[in-house]
Amino acid sequence: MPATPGEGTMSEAIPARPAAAMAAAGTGRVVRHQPAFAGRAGEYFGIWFVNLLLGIVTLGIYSAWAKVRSERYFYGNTTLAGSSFDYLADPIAILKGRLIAYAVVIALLLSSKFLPILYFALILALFALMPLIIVLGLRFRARNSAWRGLSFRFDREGGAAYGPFLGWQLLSAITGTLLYPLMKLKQHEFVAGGHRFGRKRFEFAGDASRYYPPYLVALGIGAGLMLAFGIAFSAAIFAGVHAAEGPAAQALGVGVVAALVLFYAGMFALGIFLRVRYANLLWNNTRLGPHRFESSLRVRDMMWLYASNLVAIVCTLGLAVPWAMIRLARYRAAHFAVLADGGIDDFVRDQEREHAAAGAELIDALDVGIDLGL
Amino acid sequence: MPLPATWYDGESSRARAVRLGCAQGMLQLAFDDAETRQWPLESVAINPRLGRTPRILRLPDGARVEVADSPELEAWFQGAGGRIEGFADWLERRRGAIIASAALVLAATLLFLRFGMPWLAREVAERMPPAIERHASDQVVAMLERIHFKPSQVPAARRASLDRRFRELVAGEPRSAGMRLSIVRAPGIGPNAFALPDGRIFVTDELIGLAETDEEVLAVLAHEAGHHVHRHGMRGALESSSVFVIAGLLFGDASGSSLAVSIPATLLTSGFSRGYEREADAYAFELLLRRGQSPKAFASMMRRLSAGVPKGLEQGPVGYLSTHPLSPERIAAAERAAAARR
Repeated sequence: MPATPGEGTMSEAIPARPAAAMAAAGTGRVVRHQPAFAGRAGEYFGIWFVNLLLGIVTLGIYSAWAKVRSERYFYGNTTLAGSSFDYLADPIAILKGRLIAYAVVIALLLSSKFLPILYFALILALFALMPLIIVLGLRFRARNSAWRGLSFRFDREGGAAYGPFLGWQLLSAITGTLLYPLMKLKQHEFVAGGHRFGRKRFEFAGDASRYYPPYLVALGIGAGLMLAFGIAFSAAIFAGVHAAEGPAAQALGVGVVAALVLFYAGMFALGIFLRVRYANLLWNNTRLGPHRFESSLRVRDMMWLYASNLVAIVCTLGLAVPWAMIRLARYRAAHFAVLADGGIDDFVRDQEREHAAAGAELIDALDVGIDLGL
Repeated sequence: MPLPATWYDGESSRARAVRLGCAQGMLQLAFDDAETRQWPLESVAINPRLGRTPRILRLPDGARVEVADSPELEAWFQGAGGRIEGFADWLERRRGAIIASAALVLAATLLFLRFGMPWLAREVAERMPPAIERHASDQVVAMLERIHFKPSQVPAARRASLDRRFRELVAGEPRSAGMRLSIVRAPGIGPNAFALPDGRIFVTDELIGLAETDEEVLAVLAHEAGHHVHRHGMRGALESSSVFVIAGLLFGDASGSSLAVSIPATLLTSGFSRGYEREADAYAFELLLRRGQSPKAFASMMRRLSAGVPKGLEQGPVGYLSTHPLSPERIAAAERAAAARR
C-alpha cells in the first residue's frame, strides 16, 4: 500500500499472486517471491540532480515531471517474479495537485505569522478534511501503480475514512494513546482491505493481541525516558543554582545539551520502533486470495539506516539524499516477500476510473505521509 | 537481432515470453509457440527512457510488453518517449551535465538564500500594509499580556523620563513615528527588550532594574529601534517561512524525512536572525554616536545581561544555535564603535 514519496516502491510491492489461485486454500505449493531492487545510487544521483536543476530553471513547474521520474525509477527498478512495477501517473495531474498543495502550504505559513485566526481555521479545515485527503492519495497512488499490465485500485469512499482516520484518532488522543494500537488496527484494516489488484481484493485480518505488544514496549521505554530526563534535568537545574561560574557551569551547559540530544534521539528511535513493528504487522496480516506477505524489517537495522541517512544528508547538505533513498529501497526489498500459494497468472483486469491527483500531492507537500507501507 | 521481452495481455497477470523485431515500420512480436503478431510502430506507445529501468510498450489492443532498455528501441521509436523527458534523460546520462547540475543547484540555492530571499523579504516587508503589521503585533501582545506582562513598578517619573529620552533619541529617524515605548514587569521573561513589527517596543522592569544608568537602557532601546527601522520582524517572518517552502520544494520529493530538512532550515533561520541582531547593533551604535552618546553603555549593559546567563550555555553548542550573536562578540563590537569615535 502506497506510502509516502520515495517509499512507493516497496509499498507497491504488493503485487500479488494469482488470485484465482486455485482457491484451494493450501495447494501446499507455496513459492516465495522476493522483490529485487536494482537501483544504483550513482545513477539516481544524476537523475535527482537533473530533476532539481530543471525544477529550479522552470521555477518549479518541472517538479511534477521530476516526481514522476523519481517514482518510475524506484518502481521500474523493483521486480517481482520477473516483472517490474510501473508508475503511470500523468505529470500534468501531479502539477495541478502540486499547485493546490503549495497554495495551501503558503497560506498556512503566512497566516501562522500574520493571521493566527485564519491559521487556526485552516488547520481545523485541514484536520477535518484529512481523512478525505488520505483516501484521495491512496486512490491516486493505487491506480497509478501497475504490475504485469494490471493496476491496483483503492475503492473505499472518502466518508468511510472518518472512522479510522478521525474517530479512532480522537479516541486514541482522549484516552492518552491507550487506544493507539486499536486505531492502528482499524487504519490498517481500512487501507489494506480497500486495495485491489485487478479484481482481487486484499484482505486484512489482524487482531489486537498482536497490535498491543509493540505499543506497550514503546510506552514503557518512553515513560522511562521521560522520567530519566526529568530527573537529570532537575538535577542540572539544582546544580546550576550552586555553580554559576567556572568550568563546572560550562560542563553543566554541555551536559544539559547532551541530555536533550539523547532525549530526542530516544524519541526518534521509539518512533522508528513503532513504525517498523506496525509496518510488519500490516503486511503479515494481509493476504491477497491465497497469497500471503512477509515483511521482516528489523528495528535495529531501520534505526541505523534512518540515523545514518539523517547524518549523511545533514553533513552533505543534501547531496546524500539519492544514496539514502536507494539504500532504504534496497533494504526494504530485501526484507519483503510474497508467499504465493499456487500460480500468479490469474489476476484479472478491472474497469478503469479517473481520480484527481490533488489528494496525493497535498499529502506529499504537507509531509503527512501515511506510515503504513513504511 | 530480436529482443527478448515479456508480453502481458492487459486482461490478466499472465506473462508470455516474446521476441521483438522491427521491419518496414512494423513492430513484430514472435511468441515461443510460433505465434506472431505485428503492429505499426506509430500505433505503439513507449514510456520514456529512465536509467536502466525496463521499457514498457503499450500496444493498441491494450496489451503491454516489458523489455530491457536497448539501443534498438531508440532506433525504432526515435524519441517517441516525449520531448521533455527525452531531454531530461539526455542530461541524466552525461557525467558533465550531472556535475554541472549539482554545481548549479548548489550555487543557485546558496545565492538565493544569501541574496535573493533577503531582497525579496525586504521588498515584500516594505509593501506590507501597516494594518497587517499591527494585526500581527496585536496577536503577540495579547498573548504576552495574558501570560507574562504585569503593570510596571518603575516609578512613573522615571518611566516618563525614559519615554521622553527615547523619543528624543529616535526623533527624525525613519519610521520613528510608529515607535512607542512600553515598560512592563515580566518576571517570567526577565531582563529583556523587544520590538514588534508595528513599532511597539517593550522593555521590562527587570532590565531597567539591572541597568545602572538610563544610558544603558537607551542603548538597548536604540538596538530595538534598529529592528523597527530595518523591518526585521516582518522580514524575519517572511524569510523563515520561505526557507521551509524552498526546502520543501528542493527536498520534498526526496528526503522522506522532514527532520532532515528542518534541521538545516532551523540553522539557516537562526543564522538570519543573528544577521538582524548585528544590523540592529550597528544601527544602535551609529545612532548613539550621532546623538553624542557612547556605545560603551551598550557594552556594559550586555555584560550585565550575560552575567545572568550560565557560562556554559553562552559558549557551548547552545550559543551556536542561539538567535543572537554571542555576547562577547557584541560587547567587542560596541567597544570598537565607541573607540572609533575618539
